[in-house]
Amino acid sequence: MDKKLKIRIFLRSFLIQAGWNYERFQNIGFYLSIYPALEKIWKDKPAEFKKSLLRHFSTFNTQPFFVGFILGNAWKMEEKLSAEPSETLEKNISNVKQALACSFASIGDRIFWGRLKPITTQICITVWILTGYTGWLITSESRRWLSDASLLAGPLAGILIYSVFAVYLRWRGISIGYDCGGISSCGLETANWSRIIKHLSAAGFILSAFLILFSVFALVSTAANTAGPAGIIYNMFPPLAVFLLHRIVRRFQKSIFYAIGAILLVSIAWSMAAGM
Amino acid sequence: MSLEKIIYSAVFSGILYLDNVHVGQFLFSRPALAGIILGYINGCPVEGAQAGIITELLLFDFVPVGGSVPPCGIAAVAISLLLYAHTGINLSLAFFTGIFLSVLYAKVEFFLRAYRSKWNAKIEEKIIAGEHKLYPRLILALITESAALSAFIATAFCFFHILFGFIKMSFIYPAADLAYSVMPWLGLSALYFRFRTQVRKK
Repeated sequence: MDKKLKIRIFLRSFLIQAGWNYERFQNIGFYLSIYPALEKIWKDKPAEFKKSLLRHFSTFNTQPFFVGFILGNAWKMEEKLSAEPSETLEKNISNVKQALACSFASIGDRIFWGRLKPITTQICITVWILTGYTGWLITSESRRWLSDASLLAGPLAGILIYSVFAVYLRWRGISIGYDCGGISSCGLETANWSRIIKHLSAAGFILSAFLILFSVFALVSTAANTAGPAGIIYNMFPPLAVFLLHRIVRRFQKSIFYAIGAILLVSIAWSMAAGM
Repeated sequence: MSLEKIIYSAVFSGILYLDNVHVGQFLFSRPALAGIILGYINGCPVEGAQAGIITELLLFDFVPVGGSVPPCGIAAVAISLLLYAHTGINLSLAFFTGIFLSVLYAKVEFFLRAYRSKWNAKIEEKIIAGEHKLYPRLILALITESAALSAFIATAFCFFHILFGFIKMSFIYPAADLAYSVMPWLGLSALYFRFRTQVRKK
């Protein structure tokens, strides 16, 4: 594998979603990423080069962090086609590419968008809890002093973990895809994805439960200090009502904006009643 | 009101937004971080962190798969902070204005994505004609995306700045404060139910 070429493809793969469109999705980004490989493979055959460019300008959509696997695979298949031209192999390039794109989209969406991204938010809040910042929960505390470092540490901690994993996967994916290029299951056996997904779900659920428990504890202790036992019940009512409302909204498969709208309406009615 | 800060904030948000979809996806565009940085620009980093994390929690209800366009977190947090810092309204009211406008920006993003579909035929023609480089088109796409969000933020700010200048909104502050105080709980609920559904799946 040409290391310099791999670096060029890797760097260009960060633009995989640039030019995203509804007709062919990430085709512009994929074309841009694979371009250096095609340019090298077909440098002496301009007609074939043009054909290969058009081949990789077709519809393409996958999870962006898993695109390395498909780029490596396509690169290897183009090399094979260049060495032994055949119509079957030419058709196979598009078929394998599409099959892998769908599989990795399903795996990647569940890992990154569905689990890791929310986990980074949980990490952010956990870091803030550890530094003593509760303004994210008790909104009236927003003006409380907090050092710049602690404030930034929350989101940056999550970003670091997320990005290291994402960048590594892009980089490794190219090599793995290249090594097994041409096989429609290429790269899918690299890791036990379903186990990773399961573990991430469990970790996310545990963190969610921890954050809710912490929030209840913070609210109860604040209420107990200021208003006594009666205050605890009074302060716990709004969060419980919000949970119930959100549950109902979810049951009817409506967006969270319905819940926000309902909360706003109830708050206006409550304030008007209190003001009378 | 500092015009410079508003322009910086709008331009910075537009640049940061590119990370959301078009370049990298490192999560630098996440509302919690964008909120802090925009907060520094406008002199309210702690409020920026708060509005940012609540926006982030609420928007987890949307998963950006299959070409769906979720509400724009950066637009929400940028508009909230600009209104809060330069219009003098409560953070709670600024937050709700921002979060509802983020849905509107999703329509703009949808339009831009749909518009780019027209490019495919033209690019194909160029490839056939021997013009292979796509960089000019890509740079145009990135500038358009960035400029569209910046313009949206600046326009929305100007509109609401004038509107809130005419209509005194202080009568709605108690209601907005009350609703805002339970938003973190709504976000936690979104987070909890998301993972609970996943854990229950076999």
